[in-house]
Amino acid sequence: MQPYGITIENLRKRYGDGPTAVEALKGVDMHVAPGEVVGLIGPSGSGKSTLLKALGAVIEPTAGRMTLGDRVIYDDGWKVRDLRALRRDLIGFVFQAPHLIPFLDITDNVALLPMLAGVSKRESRQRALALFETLDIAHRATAMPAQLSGGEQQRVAIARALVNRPPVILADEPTAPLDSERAIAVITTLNEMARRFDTAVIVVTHDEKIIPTFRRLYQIRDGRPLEQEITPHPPNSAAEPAAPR
Amino acid sequence: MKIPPNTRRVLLIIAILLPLAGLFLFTAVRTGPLAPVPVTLAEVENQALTPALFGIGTVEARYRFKIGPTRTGRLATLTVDVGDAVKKGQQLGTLDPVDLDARIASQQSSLDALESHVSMARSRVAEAKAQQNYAANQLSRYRELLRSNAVLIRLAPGTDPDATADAIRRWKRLQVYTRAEMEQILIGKLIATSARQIGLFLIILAIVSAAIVAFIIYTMTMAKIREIAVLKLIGTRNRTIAAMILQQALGLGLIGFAVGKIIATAWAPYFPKYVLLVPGDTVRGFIAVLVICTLASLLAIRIALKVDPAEAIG
Ligand SMILES: Nc1ncnc2c1ncn2[C@@H]1O[C@H](COP(=O)(O)OP(=O)(O)OP(=O)(O)O)[C@@H](O)[C@H]1O
Ligand SMILES: [Mg+2]
Repeated sequence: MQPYGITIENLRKRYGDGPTAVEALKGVDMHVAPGEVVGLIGPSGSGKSTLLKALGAVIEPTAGRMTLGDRVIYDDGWKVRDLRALRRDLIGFVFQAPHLIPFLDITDNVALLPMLAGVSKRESRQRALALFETLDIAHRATAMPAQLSGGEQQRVAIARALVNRPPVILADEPTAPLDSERAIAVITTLNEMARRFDTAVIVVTHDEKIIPTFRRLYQIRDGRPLEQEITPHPPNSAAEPAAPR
Repeated sequence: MKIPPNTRRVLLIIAILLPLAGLFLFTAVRTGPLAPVPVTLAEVENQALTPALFGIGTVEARYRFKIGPTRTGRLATLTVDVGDAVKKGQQLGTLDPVDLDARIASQQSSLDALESHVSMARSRVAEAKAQQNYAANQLSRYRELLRSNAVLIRLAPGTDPDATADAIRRWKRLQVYTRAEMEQILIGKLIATSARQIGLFLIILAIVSAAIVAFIIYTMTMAKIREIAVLKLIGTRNRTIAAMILQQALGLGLIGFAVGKIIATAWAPYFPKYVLLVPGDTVRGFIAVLVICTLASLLAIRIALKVDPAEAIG
């Protein structure tokens, strides 16, 4: 097991108290290595969103242990005090919709994050532009979000998730509104970025089109994940159209 | 054509704003400081005054003496009458010593006295009636005057205004002002009232505009709840989010202020009444705009700060 990445052990989450309590996570164990992209699938109500919120440090698990990168976040009731700063420094988020700030151009949208962490505006914008080169949207650097296509916006969102070099990226249905070619392109980009920056990536998805592109897939059922290996689809073959399962 | 929700919101705001502005303009022009003062114009006419004195009087003797016989008897002859001058020692008449006649005479004289009382009372009634008529006349005239706030009197050339005013004051018991006095009143009382009215309008306007700005900022914030949740999720401080909203509100206020200032400056010369634009007012207005916008953004900021970052996921 690699030392870093994402590790959760026996993570439990109960909503509410007494007879109406809902046990959404019933002792989840999971590990995602740095540079790895894993999929998280499961039927509705199985606890995907709950797990992602716990991983994203916006809800507190009832019990269990969680480490992101080299930091212990939760440990059986103990938790890091400043979760806001922790999210800013350790986690990149990608959503179903890009959720870019509409009145900032895309460079500022991305540069906002390093600036929140105290990096100078100049340096922040440079980091954003460097990522745009990598993601092949540098020619649109001064465009407003509304002027970009859905796929381009999602790449800006990926740039925003990456710009602080977090050890962890959490993606919540990142390909839902895209056609299969663009969906696969997004996953390919995530794979490339994960390897380039040694980021551990979890992608929650319902999207049949991209499921074959994962090397490892966690299927969560009733609050417990079962691990599935999906072969033979190494990440770099993901750009090719996926064969129907 | 489908109207996007943002445009719809703006249209809604305009739909609320326009009648408000219309109402404001209407009241300002009809009852406010811009309303015309109702004036009745009357020409002075030259007419002969016929001085007449009207009164009712009674004549009474200055001294009255009652004379009586020492014995009862009937008056046989009487050589004097009421009002006749008599001398000491003069014989007034002769008595027939039967007292019945004398009694009749004395009753008669007291009857006379009573009749004179009656006629006196009648004259009092007539006098009161005359007074009542006069009061009724005055009443209807004052009612008339009340309906028209003021009557403007143009003097024939060569007439002395002060003397005329004095005459009207004395004879008509009306408030009369010459031009000079009127100017004093205008400067003093009227302008003070206008200032109070305009102040009231300003306060209403400030409240209305604060409500509108609050409404706009509130709807803008509600439409961006998801983006706010994302900002919080990626680690933005509450302070930064509040600052963003405040910035939007102030930006809105500054645009409004600039537009208002330009329009006021450009239109002032064509305004029906003289408009004095003072730099001090501009500064005060600017500060008021900033304060109003800050207050108006508080509600939206409160809502934004309550947004749960978990809302961005799932
Ligand atoms: N805030 C909450 N309070 C109470 N129960 C909740 C809350 N959030 C989720 N649950 C319950 O926890 C269970 C897991 O919900 P979760 O949202 O994690 O499912 P999911 O796998 O994301 O489903 P979907 O695919 O429909 O989004 C469900 O039974 C749900 O009703
Ligand atoms: Mg969900």
